[in-house]
Amino acid sequence: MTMKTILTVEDSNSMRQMIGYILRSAGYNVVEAEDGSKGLAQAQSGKFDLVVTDQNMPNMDGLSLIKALRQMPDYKSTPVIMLTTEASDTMKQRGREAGATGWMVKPFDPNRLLEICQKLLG
Amino acid sequence: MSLDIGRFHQVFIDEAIEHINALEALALKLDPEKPQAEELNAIFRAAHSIKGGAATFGFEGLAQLTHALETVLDQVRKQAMAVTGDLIKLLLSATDCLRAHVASLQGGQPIDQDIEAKVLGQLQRAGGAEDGGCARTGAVPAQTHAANGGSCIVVVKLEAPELGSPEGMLRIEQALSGLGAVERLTSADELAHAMEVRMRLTSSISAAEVQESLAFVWSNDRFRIELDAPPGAPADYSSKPIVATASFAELEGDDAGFFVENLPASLERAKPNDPLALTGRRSYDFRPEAAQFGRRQVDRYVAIPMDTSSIRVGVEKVDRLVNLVGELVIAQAMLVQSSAHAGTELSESVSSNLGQLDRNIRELHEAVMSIRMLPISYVFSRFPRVVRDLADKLGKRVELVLEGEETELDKGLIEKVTDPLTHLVRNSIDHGIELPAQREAAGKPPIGALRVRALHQGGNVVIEVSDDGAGFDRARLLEKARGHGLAISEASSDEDVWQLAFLPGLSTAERITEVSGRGVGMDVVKRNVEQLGGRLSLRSAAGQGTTVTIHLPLTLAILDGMLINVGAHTYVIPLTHILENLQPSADAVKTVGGGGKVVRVREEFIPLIALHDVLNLAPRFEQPHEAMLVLCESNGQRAALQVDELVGQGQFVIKSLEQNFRKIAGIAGATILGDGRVALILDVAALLRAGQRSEPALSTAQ
Repeated sequence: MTMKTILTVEDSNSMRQMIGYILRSAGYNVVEAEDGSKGLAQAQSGKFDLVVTDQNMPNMDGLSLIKALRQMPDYKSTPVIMLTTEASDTMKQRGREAGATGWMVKPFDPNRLLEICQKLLG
Repeated sequence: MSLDIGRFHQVFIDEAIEHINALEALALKLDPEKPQAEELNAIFRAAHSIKGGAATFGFEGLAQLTHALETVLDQVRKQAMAVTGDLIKLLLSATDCLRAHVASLQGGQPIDQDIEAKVLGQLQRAGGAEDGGCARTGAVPAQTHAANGGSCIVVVKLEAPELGSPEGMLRIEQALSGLGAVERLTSADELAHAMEVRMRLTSSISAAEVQESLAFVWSNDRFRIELDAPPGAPADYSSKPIVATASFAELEGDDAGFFVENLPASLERAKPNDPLALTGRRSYDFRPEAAQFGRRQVDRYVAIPMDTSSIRVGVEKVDRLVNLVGELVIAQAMLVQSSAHAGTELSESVSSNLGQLDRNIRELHEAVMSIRMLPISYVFSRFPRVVRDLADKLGKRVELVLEGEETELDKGLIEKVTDPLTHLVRNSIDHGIELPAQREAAGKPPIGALRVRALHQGGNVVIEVSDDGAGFDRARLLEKARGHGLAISEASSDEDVWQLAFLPGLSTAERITEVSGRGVGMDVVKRNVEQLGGRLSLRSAAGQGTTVTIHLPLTLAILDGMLINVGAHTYVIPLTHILENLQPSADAVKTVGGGGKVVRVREEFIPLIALHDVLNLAPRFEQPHEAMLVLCESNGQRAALQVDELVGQGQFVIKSLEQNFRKIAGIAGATILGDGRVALILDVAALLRAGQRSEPALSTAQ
């Protein structure tokens, strides 16, 4: 089986490194990006099996990134998890409309993130 | 599988400090008249980021503070709250509080609970009822972990004989075991290729005390103390099995969920829960139990961001590189010298290749040195706050202009120049710039101008602190100097009079203020700058202001010096101390009471220090008029050093004597010359001080 590759988009260094570490420890290949627009550039230059993105970021936020990804043929149905500190109904509704596959509240239990990623990667 | 997210604590702390600095800078920039939406968003984001990380990594106290701050900033950003002077003050005291909190997490001073509770209360009141269930009053839970004992991670660098050796690790373990229980975090496998070892130390003393105790065992650059996981009972993450077979519905919870219609077709679609029913089950709690995980050590994996334009590396790695390149420069110089001796036997292609190598090494040297360079904005960025606070306190109005913030200099210099520069800035506001009323009476604008600028000039960095304040008072300086028993001619040039300000104890402040004049004054600033191999000069005009200029070398690792010979030995005198070289006539040298000698230079008698006496060497020339004199100055004292011969000027790579051998009074360091010989670098300040004690002070013309 080929190694699955995950794109992690998060502006906070510590958070991004931690997510990268969790997913790598589980045997995934992880590419990190610091904000939405850099994440989009990464997505355009490679093919990812899953995207984990923060919502609140400079330059391009998570929702805009997800919308942009859904416009790309390669990412029409790629699972995308949106990380957010705000788990309000409004935020969830916006995530659903943007095309997110799932959401997760920050701060989170790394184990839960892993479970959800594993499930989405089949 | 166990995940140790404690390894990211340091990354988080570094990041939090950056955010706190940004917060402060943005708060200082806020203009109550017309706040910019962009700035308000940026300041909110900084607080938000600290909160997110603090909650994730389990730093509850920090999360609570930043949550309260974020709530306030959210309302400001939504324009539900006005930007007022009071609000800015509150933001600034909050950043101070955050900074102190983070410092305590790193093993600094314990948190001042009273101040923190007060600021938290202020923030919560300002945030108002909108905060809902999240606002909590009462005492802040003590994050006493790092501050008052507990466990910390000690990281110790391995040195050459210990590299990869179990005995080295054992010795480190033994050194730590006196302080508490030690747990190895570096496995035997890792040790084989490790540059440093990590140990968890559980102790009844605070991290700061651990730091102090270990400073007796190792030099400060050999070890560091890192934060351990925060307090709380960490559930062992590894014991929780991962249910890879759970359905989507089973995986849903308060903390995460799926949007069923967005699931890819290839995945299971059955999802009994109505997605809408998942929403709003729980109000958001910013300090979930989820923040506590197990932290068992697994294989170390340093995550390197794939698309960042910069990487963070330890200073010790860079220093090692700098050292190695220094060695390479020396080896190259030796090669060139020996090829010169070989003369015509050496083929032309070899010498042209040597020339190529020389150029490459020089470029490599420059490139490596540039890694250690940081923009001076690291220092300048603290001035807006210093100026604001001080001007407020003194009732003065000051406009600060910063120029050349991008000017780069060595990281070591940046750290060491911070205090002297801050002192100069404080001096300008405290003693230079007048009260608004005084300024208006003198026909000046009520707002004083303080300009701090940096620029590159040749191989130096020049930093200027100038104000348009009252300037130095010539008459008072002269009077003070006489009060200290210094006979200064009334006709002395301004330049000479300003030099008096650098003499110890001659601060011209009329009263000792809380701010700067406390006996330590310009003399300390000057000494600090000279210790960095720099020099300091001063221009002032009564009523028009003062400009202090600091010239610094680009780096601490290289020194401009003069090579001199005494007997069969070669020494280096730092150029910054040398005023002139001369050969005195026989009648210019006088012996004074006590056996000391002085030399007359123009109309001034200057103490003469014979280096061969100080260094206990047999000189080639006993008599000063046969030898050469190097006229040196340090801390306002002058002396003539008697040497046998001047060899020439050059740049020298400084090697620490202390680290490689031991400290010797009168010697500042060592260097390796082109021919491979070692030359010692003289500590002129120490030599002059020693000379002063044994010689009568003769500083004035007779």
